[in-house]
Amino acid sequence: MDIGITVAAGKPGVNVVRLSGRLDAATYEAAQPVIAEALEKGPAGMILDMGSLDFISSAGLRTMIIVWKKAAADGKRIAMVDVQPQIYKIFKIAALDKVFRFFDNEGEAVRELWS
Amino acid sequence: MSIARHPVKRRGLAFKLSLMILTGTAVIFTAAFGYNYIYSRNQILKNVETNAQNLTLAAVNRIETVLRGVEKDPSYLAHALSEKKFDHQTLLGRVEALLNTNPDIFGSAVAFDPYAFDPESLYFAPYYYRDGISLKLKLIYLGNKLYQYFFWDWYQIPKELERAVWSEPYFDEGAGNIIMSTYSIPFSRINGKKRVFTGIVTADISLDWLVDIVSRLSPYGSGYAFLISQSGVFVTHPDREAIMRESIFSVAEAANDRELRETGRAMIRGETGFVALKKHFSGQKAIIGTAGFGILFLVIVLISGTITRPLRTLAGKAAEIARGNLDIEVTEVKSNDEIGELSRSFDNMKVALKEYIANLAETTAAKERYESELKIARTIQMSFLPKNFPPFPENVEFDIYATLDSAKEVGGDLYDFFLLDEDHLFFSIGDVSGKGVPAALFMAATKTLMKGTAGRDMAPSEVLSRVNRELCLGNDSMMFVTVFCGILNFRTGEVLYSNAGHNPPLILRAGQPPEWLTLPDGFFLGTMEDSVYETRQILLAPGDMLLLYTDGVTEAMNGDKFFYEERRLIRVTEDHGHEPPENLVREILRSVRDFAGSEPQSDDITMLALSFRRRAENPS
Repeated sequence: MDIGITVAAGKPGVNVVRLSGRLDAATYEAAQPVIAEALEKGPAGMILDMGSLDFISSAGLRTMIIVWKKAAADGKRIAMVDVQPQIYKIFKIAALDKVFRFFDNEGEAVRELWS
Repeated sequence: MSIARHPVKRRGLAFKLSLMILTGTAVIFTAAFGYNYIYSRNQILKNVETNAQNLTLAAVNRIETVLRGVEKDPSYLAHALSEKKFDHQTLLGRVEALLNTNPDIFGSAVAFDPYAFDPESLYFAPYYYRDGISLKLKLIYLGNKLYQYFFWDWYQIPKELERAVWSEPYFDEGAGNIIMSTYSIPFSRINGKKRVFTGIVTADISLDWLVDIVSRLSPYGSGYAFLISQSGVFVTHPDREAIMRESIFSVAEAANDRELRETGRAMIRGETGFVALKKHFSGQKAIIGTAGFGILFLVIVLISGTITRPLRTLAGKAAEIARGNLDIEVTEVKSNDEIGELSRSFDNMKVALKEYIANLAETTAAKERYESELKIARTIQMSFLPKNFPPFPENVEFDIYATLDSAKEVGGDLYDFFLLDEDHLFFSIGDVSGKGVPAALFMAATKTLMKGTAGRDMAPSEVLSRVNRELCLGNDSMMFVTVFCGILNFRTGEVLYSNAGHNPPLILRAGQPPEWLTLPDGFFLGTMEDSVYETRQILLAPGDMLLLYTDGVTEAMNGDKFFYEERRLIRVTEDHGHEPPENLVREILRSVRDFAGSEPQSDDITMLALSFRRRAENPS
């Protein structure tokens, strides 16, 4: 299983990154720069579409924390969209549910964070 | 590495090439030559036969013409003599005229039976012949006491047979000293009513002209012709010495040639035919053929040798390289053909091989160094963790067992426990994000900080807060660690615990199904300086047990990429939860191993089981 990443324009200034497969020790090195670049190029922030992400390990969580820290430092916002229950559980254990905002879909995220 | 050597002598490429080309050439050549030979031979034989037949026929015709001419005039004379009597002079005149009109006739006689011409005379046989030197006609009278001609064959045979007869060729020493044959015609007269034999008219012919005619028959230059008489004697023969002296049978006898004898007999019987001579194939052709093939073989061997010489050299060099001698000089073949290309590729290969081996040696050395360092690192890392069980044999109030199984040489999981005082036990489990050396270093830092920070009167949440602040300092790589820690008061069974992002432990109440411990929220250590942690409390009854573990247990994968999952963990815990901590941990580990099968372990597997036995007897 591999990590799949697509970057799309959601709203002007907001990039959408779609993650799929597993984000773990084997894939995070490839995923991290792509996500970081998407964040860099979105002046308003980034949407992480997690609908197809099946598994996240501690290495994947670290990637999330790095992204979140970078966004916080730059004053940008990150929206988590369509997170699967087992992933949300891990976010919750790690208390990451307190730092990220979670939404059902992109439209809702854009409405809530960028309008 | 050893290289097997074949003791069998290998045939060289040049040898094979030569053998195959030569065999192929021989087969094709033999087939073509054989066909051509047989075809040509038949054609030639046919030509020869036709030619020989024509020649013979022509020769026979010429001979017949001469002989008929020779026979004609003496026959007239004999006929005339049987009709009427000639007087002496007329007779001589007729004979002389006969010779004059027939230049082929050498001599002619009219020989009368005794007393038939002249009742007074026993002999009467005038004979004209051409003198050998002057060619003038000479007359002699045959017959005297020594030569009673009427007893001779040339007289007797036609007389008895009552018809004209050609005599066997013979050598006439008396008259012309030449080989001749005599045509004898008998004549008779009517005496009363009866025909009475009267005499013989003869015509001698020299056989020299016959020799001339026959010897001119020379089919294809190498052939020759000869004529034999009724008795097989050579009448004409290219070798004049053989004429009249040898016969076909004497020659056959001398050569012990049965076939020639048979041929002679057939000739005498007047048959026509062709006979194959056995010794026609001299063997010369075979010698030429063999010599040709020999030369061809030498040429092929020479050419093959020249072509394959660089290959042989290369093969030698290759064997040398295979033995490990990479410094050998590969002499470049300066040709642009495949061998030149091979040689250049070979040289490149050698250089590449040398580089590769050098790199490999370097890499291997580095890897070995790295691996040995990792082994040492593992030993050091493991020495951080308490590994002697039971750790506190004098403390019968609780029983504790823990294990850490790294996926790699060094791992990022950790567990720890130590006594804070005579009735407080501090215990913890943790999981650093990632694996390998960075994780191991971060684990070591965490473990050391925890042990240094934890104190008798400090709540677990405070320990986590302090350790978090320390870990956050200069942690640019955003490593983090999840930690669950607690303090057991084994006098009361009270447990104070706090959590930093770790997965919840199981609590096994005696006689009840296992359940997850409810945890306070808590961000994992190392990323946010101002994280706040919360301490909670539960009371353990004797027989209760806590099972702490990392996600390496529940996320162990099998070959079908399925996780071990919490439900399997619960089942094993239900089955073995009443047993001592060591048994439970070992059973879970075995169950995980069975589940994963041959799938390589992807994450560290760590467990810590703490069982509360009883409250201390003597509370202080």
